[in-house]
Amino acid sequence: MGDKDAVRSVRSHRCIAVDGCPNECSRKNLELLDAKLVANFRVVDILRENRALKPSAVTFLDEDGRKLARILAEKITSKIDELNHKGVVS
Amino acid sequence: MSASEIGVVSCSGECCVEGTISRIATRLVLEKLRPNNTVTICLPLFSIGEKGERMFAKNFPTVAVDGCEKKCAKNAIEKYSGKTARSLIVFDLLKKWKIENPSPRRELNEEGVEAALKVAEEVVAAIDDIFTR
Repeated sequence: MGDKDAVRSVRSHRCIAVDGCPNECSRKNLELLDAKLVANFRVVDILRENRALKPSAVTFLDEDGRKLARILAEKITSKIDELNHKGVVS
Repeated sequence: MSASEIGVVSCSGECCVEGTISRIATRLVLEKLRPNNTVTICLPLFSIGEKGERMFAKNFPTVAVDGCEKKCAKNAIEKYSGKTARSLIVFDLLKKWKIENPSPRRELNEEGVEAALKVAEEVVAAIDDIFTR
């Protein structure tokens, strides 16, 4: 909520938004703050790409939820590696 | 104050375990302890100006469950919708209960879940107090 350190941090570092739902609040918050947004992911897309996995628990992830979290983490990691390889300036 | 529903607004921070505890505690309240008369307000959605979330917080009592002293949940609600009915800070509660380093922040261990349950009970006490007024 306008925290100066947080605002400075997202403006001075490359940011990847990871949103749970189609409202994409992380991405929109970053855009509102004029942050350096370099990529964004949506969990709904990961769910669509992995229809065999059906997470059902919200508070504590079940096995399928953990698998999806790992898939998403790997996608984010690949993006980070790609950005670093391209030498996108921070 | 007469209320049929209460909004519970949790911290969405990832920088400390107190944020994780605040989210798990809020889920426990919504799913298990008071499922019939609580809703959650999504803090990131609220902060980008979603009208439904802001209207709800204007018209119904809210309990802010913040992880740290920055109190982002409380400050956001009070900036855009009105005074929160109650405000809890997990960091202060853990200090009061002398719980140190309860858990890694990525995934709560048994001690972290226990701390989250204690925080959830505090939220429930706040909710019950609001309903009896």
